[in-house]
Amino acid sequence: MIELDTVTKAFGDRTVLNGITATFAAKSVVSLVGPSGGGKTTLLRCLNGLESFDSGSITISGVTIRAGGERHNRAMLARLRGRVGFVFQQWNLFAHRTAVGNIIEAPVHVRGESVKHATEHAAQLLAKVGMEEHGAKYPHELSGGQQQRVAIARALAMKPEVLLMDEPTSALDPERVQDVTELLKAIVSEGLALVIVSHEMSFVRAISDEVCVLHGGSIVERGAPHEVLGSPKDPRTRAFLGMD
Amino acid sequence: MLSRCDRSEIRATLAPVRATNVRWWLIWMCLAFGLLSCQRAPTGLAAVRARGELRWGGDTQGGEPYVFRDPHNADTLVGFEVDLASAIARELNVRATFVQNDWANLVPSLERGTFDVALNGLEVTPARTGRVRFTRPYYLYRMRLMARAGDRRVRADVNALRGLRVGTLGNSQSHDLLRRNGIEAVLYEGQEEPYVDLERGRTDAVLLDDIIATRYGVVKDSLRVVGDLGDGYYAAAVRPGDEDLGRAIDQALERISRTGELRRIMARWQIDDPRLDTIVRWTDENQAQLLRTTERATFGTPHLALFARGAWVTVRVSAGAMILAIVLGMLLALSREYGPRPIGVLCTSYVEVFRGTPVLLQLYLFYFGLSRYVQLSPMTAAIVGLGLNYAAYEAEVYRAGLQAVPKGQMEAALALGMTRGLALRRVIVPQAFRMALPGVTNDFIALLKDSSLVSVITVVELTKQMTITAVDVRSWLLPGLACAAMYFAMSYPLSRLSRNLEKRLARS
Repeated sequence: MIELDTVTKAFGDRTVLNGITATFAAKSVVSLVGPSGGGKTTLLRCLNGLESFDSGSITISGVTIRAGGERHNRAMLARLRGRVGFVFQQWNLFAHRTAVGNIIEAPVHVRGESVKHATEHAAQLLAKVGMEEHGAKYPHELSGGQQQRVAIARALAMKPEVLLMDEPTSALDPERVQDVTELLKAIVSEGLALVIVSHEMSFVRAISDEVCVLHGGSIVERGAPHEVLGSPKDPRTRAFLGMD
Repeated sequence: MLSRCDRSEIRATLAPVRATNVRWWLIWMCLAFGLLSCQRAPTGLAAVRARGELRWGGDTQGGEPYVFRDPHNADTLVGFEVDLASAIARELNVRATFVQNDWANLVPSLERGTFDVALNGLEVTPARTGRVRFTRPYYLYRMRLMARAGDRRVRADVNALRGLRVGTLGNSQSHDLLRRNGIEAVLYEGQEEPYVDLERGRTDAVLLDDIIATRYGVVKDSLRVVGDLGDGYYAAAVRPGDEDLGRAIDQALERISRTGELRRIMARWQIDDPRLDTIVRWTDENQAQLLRTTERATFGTPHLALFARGAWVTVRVSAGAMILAIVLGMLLALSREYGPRPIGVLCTSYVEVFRGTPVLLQLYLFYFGLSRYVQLSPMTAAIVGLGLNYAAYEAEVYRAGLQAVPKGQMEAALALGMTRGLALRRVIVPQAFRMALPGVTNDFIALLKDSSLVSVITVVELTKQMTITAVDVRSWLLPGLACAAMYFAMSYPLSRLSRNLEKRLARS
């Protein structure tokens, strides 16, 4: 379960998160949509402490982080990041490590797993994302879609309860979007919650249990995808979807 | 000749075809003539008379009382050799003009024609006798041994010096004496430093000419004169081909001696000694006796063995300094990029100060300047001094490497639960180091060559070994080439490595 309690954040004069309070159920897929500058990515980054916030608190699976950033939350952040994985828009694979090396890095050096055990697990994860052939390749030898799959496997290696994904379709060829949709559905079916930021409405519709529309740092509408995307009530959502 | 060239050139430009070829040909001809005419400038006494000046070479770094800047008037040179040169020039009816030249290279410069006569505490040694035409001597010096007042191990006996470290000047007669007897000589380039190091206990004794000992050693209360280990003569030197000039200077010196002017000059500089009477009454027989032994050392295998030893010192100094520079440089770069602000500012200042001042100066300050507080061995001081300097350069190379690692790499590491320290260690630094590696290898090559600077703090590495040998064998060519070959053998593999690394980096 993810609980946000009046989370606010400003970059200078500009309020990015305007006291967001919300609860997201465990094991569900939540998509954050809305116009650029609405606070989607900032919110996503706050969920595993990559971004600090000015007030309020965030609780995920019983771990609470508060305003003040890394200095005040060091112990909590370490626990939080063990439960919340992040897949970046540009994947950010470690350029000096192979696919397997990327996947075992954190299990070995953060969790203290043996290299042997972590490598076996990495092989299973690579098979799950359909990359069993590519374990020994370096990131620059992989296509965008392949890098994304390794990045997903890397995040899964830490056995998170929640996976955060920033624009998972933006750097993919249109024909690859279907593949990643199926992969993510398979992952969710194993009991993982997903929080996704996306501009790709057909993808959002296909994957989400719930859609949240962020506008001006607030959630202006939330609900099932067919409701929010099919018959939105809030004028800002309608404007965003180009319905007026 | 030039105007003739110009006219020919105009004619050449008028001929449209092959004009460029002709012009090139003319330029080369002019150059060749120019070089030839340089070499054919008149020499000897006639040239000195024609010019109306006697150019004499010396090194003001030699200091008091030889030739040095007047403390009250920096534009004027004073010293007993200044007075002597003036007296000789007066006898030749010309004026004396001083030419500054590094002392160790007075003889090669004389041969090149930089000046007419070398007159600067040049000791009459068998090695030099075979190479220059010495005039009659103008001073009789003694090789004076000094030690710390309380140190009773040092006695005025060459054999008693075995196993002790004895400071002296490179290529001096004292240096020769020590080498011949297998005594460890610590070589300095200035007169003050040997006595400073002796006081600090870095050496056990100093053997130098009495004039130097009196000015720089005896004035230190903690040192004592042990005794003299022999004597020798200072004489002026001209090129062997300038026999007439040599004879004229001989005659001038004889007159100056006979009239008592020589002793008066020495008395003015408080270096007169009844023993100088020998020089006043110097005979042709004495001169023949003095120049009887000549020695022609040639460059050979023993020298190569010495070079190899020097090269080994160079490798040790360079490798040691580089390891220090790599570790310290990385710490500096990380502190600047990721550390708290005050520490970052401190590290930035370190880099700016060490990069912005000459490494030679740093070595001097480090070894001699701090000797009152820290006593480092020359080798340690060389490694630490060069290492501290190069750390500043490495820090910049790494900083560029760190900045070239995309920001997302750190975020990805943090998102996986790594601490900042772990992320730096496992993710950022390995990538930054890889990007910095070609630069680091380049710096190592530069360091290999810069390591020759440590000879100023008495470490005898490859270049110093070469200069000592070059003066011994009276040639810079072979020793220079052999030395260059050794440096090249050390640096070429590194530059290949650097190029391969760059290629591999470009691929990934």
